[in-house]
Amino acid sequence: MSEKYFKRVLNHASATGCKNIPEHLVKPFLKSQGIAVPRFVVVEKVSDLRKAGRLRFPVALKVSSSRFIHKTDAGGVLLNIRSMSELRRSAMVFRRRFRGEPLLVEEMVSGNVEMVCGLIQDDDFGTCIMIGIGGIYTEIYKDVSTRVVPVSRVDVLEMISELKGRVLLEGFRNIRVNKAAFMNLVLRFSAIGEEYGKHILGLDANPVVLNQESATVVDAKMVLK
Amino acid sequence: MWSYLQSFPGRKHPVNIKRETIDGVKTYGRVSDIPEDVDLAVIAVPARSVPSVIDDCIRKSVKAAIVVSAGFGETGEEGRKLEEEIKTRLANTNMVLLGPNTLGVYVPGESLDTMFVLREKSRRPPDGPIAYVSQSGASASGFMDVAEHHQYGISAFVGLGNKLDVNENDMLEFFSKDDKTKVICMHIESFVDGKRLLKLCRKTTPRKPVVILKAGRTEAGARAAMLHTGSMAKPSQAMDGAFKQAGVIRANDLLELFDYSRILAYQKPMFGPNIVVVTSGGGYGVVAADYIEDRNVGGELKMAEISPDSKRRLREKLPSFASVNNPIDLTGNVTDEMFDHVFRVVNEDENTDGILAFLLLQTPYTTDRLIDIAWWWFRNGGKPMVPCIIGGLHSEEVIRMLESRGMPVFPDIRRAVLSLRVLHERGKYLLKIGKSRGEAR
Repeated sequence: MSEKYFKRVLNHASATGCKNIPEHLVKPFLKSQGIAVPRFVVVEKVSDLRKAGRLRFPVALKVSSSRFIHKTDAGGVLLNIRSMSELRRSAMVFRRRFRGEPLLVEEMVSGNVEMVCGLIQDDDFGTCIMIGIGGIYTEIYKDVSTRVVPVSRVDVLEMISELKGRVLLEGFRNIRVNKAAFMNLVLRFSAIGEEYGKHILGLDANPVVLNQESATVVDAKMVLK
Repeated sequence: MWSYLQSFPGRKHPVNIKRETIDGVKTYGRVSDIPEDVDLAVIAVPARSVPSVIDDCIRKSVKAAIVVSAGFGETGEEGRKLEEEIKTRLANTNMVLLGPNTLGVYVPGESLDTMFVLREKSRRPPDGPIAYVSQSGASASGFMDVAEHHQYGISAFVGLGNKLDVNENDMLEFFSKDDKTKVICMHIESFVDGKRLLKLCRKTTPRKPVVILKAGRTEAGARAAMLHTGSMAKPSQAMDGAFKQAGVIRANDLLELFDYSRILAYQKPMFGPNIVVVTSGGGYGVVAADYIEDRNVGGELKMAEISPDSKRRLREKLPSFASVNNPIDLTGNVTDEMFDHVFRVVNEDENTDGILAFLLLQTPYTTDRLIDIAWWWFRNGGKPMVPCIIGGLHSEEVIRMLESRGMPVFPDIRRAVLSLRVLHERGKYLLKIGKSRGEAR
């Protein structure tokens, strides 16, 4: 099942010669691995926009292209779109701005904690997994913990306990999140690393949005070796 | 070097093209002229002559060679070419090679010493339980001098040098199986194969602790390592985590490498974080309490809640002005008997996992008997105890006496607490991999 989705990733890379995988190919792969992602629709031609009708608004609109890895900086992300007509207008602007690159329409996910989870390649130890406090804070506080894949549940608990921001997962003030869902997500990333690590240079899910029910990968980047 | 080799009981032959004899012993012009089988060749000739000597050793079916000579990969392109030449020669033989650019080996139990550093300047530590593997020669000779000063016993020292053939993983595998070695400590600047290292560590650490100082963990350090040994390694982001998974204790400098391997060799693992501080100086107790609980610069441990029953027992034999809370402060009126009583009680206290003992020799009513008392409890107390003695000449003499009996003593509060932290790290790891407290001793 997920073999098929990873094949699409590989095919895209060999067809375009580009190692940066657009998000509309990464998300289906993550989903096939049992990782929660927002419900989404891929818009490659104008008529695809109709499919967005089955999503729950508000939605986010993103350009999904190997050429725009930092989507936000390129003006390629629009959040909180409240209606179909607003979506159509924005999509037209994006089609012009990004010259017909595929667009990704996703349901907005609300949550109160943002984490990061990713795979990296280490010169010494090979495929490694890292977790940390996500969103814009990842780069500011560098509050992360890393292990070699595969990791066990005990490893994941230990990783969380190393984070200064661990209290965010353990019920701080009124913040209640599903820590177990995040742990499961980390274990699934570890499994991806084990199986596909030989192809993947980096996989970065940031933010992973946590709420009381789930841990959802809102933004994901993948670079092949 | 020839004279140091004399303590080795096996037969030795000098090989030298210029001299007829060395110290009255007839020399041979070539290794292949030696009229019997050769197990080990120690090669100390100029770098460019090494390949031809290696050829001769291979002809003679020498089992192992130690190349002490420098002037190889660490000096640049020409040296690297020489290394390649040697590698090609070794490829189809059974000979193993240590170095080049190495201090060699020192195995006190076999009286084997191939090191060229003068014994007057760098003394050799006694026989003992710690295997010491180092990629850096100069720091190793200093480190061994320190080890001798503290009577810290080693099963073997191996200088890796440029790791042309034998590397840290080979040595780890060897010492992992060596019964005499109870702790393996390594000072490494670049890993030849990180994945194999982790695999070997995972196999070893359930039975014996491995302590690693990996120098070059920042960009600046990695650049310095490149200039030092020619290693091309980038700093690893994953090392801390990888070490934790494999049960490796990490040291940040030589002093830590020294302290951690020593305490792990001579003390048992600690299975909980709760520390009792025994002191006769209140001030030390306060500083220690801070370090014990500090997550960043200290032990990330806990000050134990001494049980009411233990407190009652403590009060029975302590003066009213002594504190039976933690830190247990015996004050300047402390006697040998009080120390003895306190060590008995805290070793039996259900809320205590480890003991930090300040043995302050300046108090008027303690005697030399305190040394025996501390040593007895260190050995037989059941709970890990880390002794700290702070003082000048007199204290130093006592420390040396205790250390020659196999009891490491710390002259510094922070070093003592970090050593407790390491005993705790070891205990946690053993429990994590499913060892019971009994078998984890």
